[in-house]
Amino acid sequence: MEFSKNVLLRISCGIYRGLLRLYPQEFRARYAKEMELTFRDHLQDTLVKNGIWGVPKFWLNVAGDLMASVLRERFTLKNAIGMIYVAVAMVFSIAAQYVDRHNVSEVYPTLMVALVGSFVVGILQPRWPWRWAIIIGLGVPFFGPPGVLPARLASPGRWAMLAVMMVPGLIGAYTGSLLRQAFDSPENRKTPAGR
Amino acid sequence: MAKTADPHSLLPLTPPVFQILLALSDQERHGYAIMREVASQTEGQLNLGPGTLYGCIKRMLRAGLVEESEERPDPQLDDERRRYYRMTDLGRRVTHLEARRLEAAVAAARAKKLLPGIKPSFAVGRL
Repeated sequence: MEFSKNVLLRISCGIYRGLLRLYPQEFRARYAKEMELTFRDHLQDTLVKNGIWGVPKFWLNVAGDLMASVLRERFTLKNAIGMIYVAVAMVFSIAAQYVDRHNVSEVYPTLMVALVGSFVVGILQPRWPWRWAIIIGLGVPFFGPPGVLPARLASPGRWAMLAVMMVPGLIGAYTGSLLRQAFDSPENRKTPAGR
Repeated sequence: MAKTADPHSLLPLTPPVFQILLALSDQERHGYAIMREVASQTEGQLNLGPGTLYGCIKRMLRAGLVEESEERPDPQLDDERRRYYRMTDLGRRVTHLEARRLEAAVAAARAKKLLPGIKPSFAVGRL
């Protein structure tokens, strides 16, 4: 019985250690070790008091606590603002697919949306500007009315368009990002590499 | 949240934060000891998980309600990775104010006869 308790303790601690990766990096770096110790102590006490039959209830409580606290730590004000930038990029992404769908013979209007959209979001959030080019470009194969979406996803032309859009997208995003750097005060500066 | 000298600006406290402060009011404790003390002082009604506990501790450290203790009660017997926390002066003042606030709420409930069987005279006693 003692052996099975030890095995259960080790397995549970291993699983919990893995689940701690759900927390933001900053939080994990500061509290993961302590949380693991606390978890281990608590489980040890549960095993002593209730035996292995207390473990399912223990895990149920831990799972609830984990879900609620991960959400709380992840959805901070800073993260919410980050989501707004992603939402702005998504709007340009939808606009890009709309323009692409209605200008089948012309590629320049879509490329212009990629350029302007990436530039605008690059100014708003200069960190890692390449992601704005990717998000806006992905709208061409991935967005669209449900009726035409399967055809767009299967079309090599749309994927080629995504690749072509990367060029103005990256130019726009990095230009916006660098322009923002030029106007930002040195202490607020975020480099395009995010350092 | 920046450290503030005005305890009123931190009120009302959430139940877990108030209970953690109560647990730290008589001695410094590590995480699991706080969890056990909170469960004991609430008669098992509030069982904090590690996620909730350390989320609260993070915010309380930032607000200056608690601080990490550098002393360890018995380093020989303890895991060195454990951290101990203690209440700050600001934490003590905030806990006092929160207790008074809750006391006033209980007094109001008694005055409205929502707590039958307890004499209203108990409601206005000092902490």
